[in-house]
Amino acid sequence: MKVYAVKRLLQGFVTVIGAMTVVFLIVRLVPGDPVSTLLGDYYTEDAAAVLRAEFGLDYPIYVQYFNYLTDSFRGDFGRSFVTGRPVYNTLVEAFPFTMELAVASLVFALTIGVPVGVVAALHRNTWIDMLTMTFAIAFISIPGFYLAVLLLQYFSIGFGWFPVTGVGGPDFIGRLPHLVLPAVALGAPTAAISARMTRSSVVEVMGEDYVRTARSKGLHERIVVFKHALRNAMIPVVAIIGLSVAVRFGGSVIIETVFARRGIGYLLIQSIYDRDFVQVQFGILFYACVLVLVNIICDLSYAILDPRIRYN
Amino acid sequence: MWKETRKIFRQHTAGAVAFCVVLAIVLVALFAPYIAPRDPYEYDVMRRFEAPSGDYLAGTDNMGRCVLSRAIWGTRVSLQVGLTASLIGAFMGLVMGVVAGYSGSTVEAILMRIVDVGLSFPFILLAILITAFFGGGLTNVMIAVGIARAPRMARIAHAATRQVRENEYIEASRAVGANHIRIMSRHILPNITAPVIVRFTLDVAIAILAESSLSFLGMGITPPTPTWGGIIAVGREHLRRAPWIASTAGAAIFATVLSINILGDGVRDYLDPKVGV
Repeated sequence: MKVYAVKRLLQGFVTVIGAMTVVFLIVRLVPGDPVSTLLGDYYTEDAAAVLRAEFGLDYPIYVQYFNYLTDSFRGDFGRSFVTGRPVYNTLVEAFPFTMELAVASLVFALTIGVPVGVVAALHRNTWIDMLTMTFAIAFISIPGFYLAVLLLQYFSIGFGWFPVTGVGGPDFIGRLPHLVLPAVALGAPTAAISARMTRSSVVEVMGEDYVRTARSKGLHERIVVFKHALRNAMIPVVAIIGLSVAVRFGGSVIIETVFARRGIGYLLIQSIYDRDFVQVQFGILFYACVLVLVNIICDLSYAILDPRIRYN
Repeated sequence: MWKETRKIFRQHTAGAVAFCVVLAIVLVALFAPYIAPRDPYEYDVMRRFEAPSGDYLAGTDNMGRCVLSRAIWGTRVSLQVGLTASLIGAFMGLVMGVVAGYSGSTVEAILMRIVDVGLSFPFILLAILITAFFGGGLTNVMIAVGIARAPRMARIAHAATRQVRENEYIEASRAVGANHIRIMSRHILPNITAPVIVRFTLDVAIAILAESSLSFLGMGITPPTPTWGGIIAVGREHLRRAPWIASTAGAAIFATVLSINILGDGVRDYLDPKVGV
């Protein structure tokens, strides 16, 4: 297990280096000169030379790449082209809003998705199963940004129950009303995916020999389901949830834009509009690191959930 | 043939109905110029934000353009992006996945690390990044979404190829002197079609969602070209005054993606009945 964990971490490290390279290349190989875009009407040769020197853009590309990697490992991710502030600081300020949204949407997704999946599986091929799975596929098919617009249309503008945009007050209670609709918009597809996955997994597990053994011992159905079936059925669900978390982080870019939440996604989109390459580079790197880390955690959690899986 | 079709319809009713809906949507896209009641670009500032009526079945937008006509023309863009991007993703993913799975050892390790790097970006973010820096427009959006989908297809193709390469017929074809390209194209590729077709079908739906998301953010197809995402972006600005703008395009995306997803489920159940529990 330890060997496997170290191996996965090393693989993750290599992947992050690869991701840094890809982002660096995309951002640097973009057609046009970022400095002239930044200066716009104020462009002069002297001003451009000063800016290029300030951001290290006057070096050959391989030197820039080497500097980028070494500076990043020292914790210096550069300064924003637009604000001049360290991009790390700007991202750290936005982080709590995105984290809050990701956690709230995951909590929403799991509290709805897993029980619905279990109920559907236990009532397999009945109208309950049909109805819940129809809703599930409907929520997978609805685009997150459109669901967000619908929620705004009805619950903010129509009924006036929730604020339209922003992140709200300084403490969590003050921010809660601003969190509900974005969390639902972001979490609904994950809830649907978890419900579908839980259902098929529970149906499969309920046919296993150990479930039949548990029943033949005369155990109560509740114990059979929750103690014997559900724990085993959760293994593939964990995989899907792990991937969904990553997808949700990506989706938060759009949801934060719709609700004007000052999270990392919102920051990233604004940086793209402003052509703030350094901020974009760091924002994407952050998402890549989160995704790699979530994947490693998921892989390791299989071993914890299923004693048969031994990676060493 | 007819008997077989009836049997498929009976056994996979939902998938078959979804197939009919997808077919209808394709026809709408093909015959948009004949179906759309008006020119999608024609504006009439005197009739801005007109509610749905006999004249304008889905109302008008902020420039007095017919929302229904724009949504119908938007079907063309969405399906074009959905299919082309998925084909680009499938081609790139298949080449990488099959070569990695077949060759094994170092080539496999290198290719799969590249795939891992691709998978380390949230898909939509990679598409946003590419279109943001290399420009929007139909071609760039298709390429961006295709590239962003490729690693997912590569992973599926890689796993399927690894299973198939262990079969005796692969060893037999090697023994009679078939070269690697022939083995991959004639013996491996035809035997991994089931998971690839299912992935491809679902990728079309994902690509349509991605295109609409990009257009919604203003990083996709440039206005005034009618796109579903673009229509929703306009509708979002005028939710209080004209909720029908976003609703029409939203319903179009929802119906299309839902049918493709149900069709994908049906195809999966048809090709591999063990999976559809």
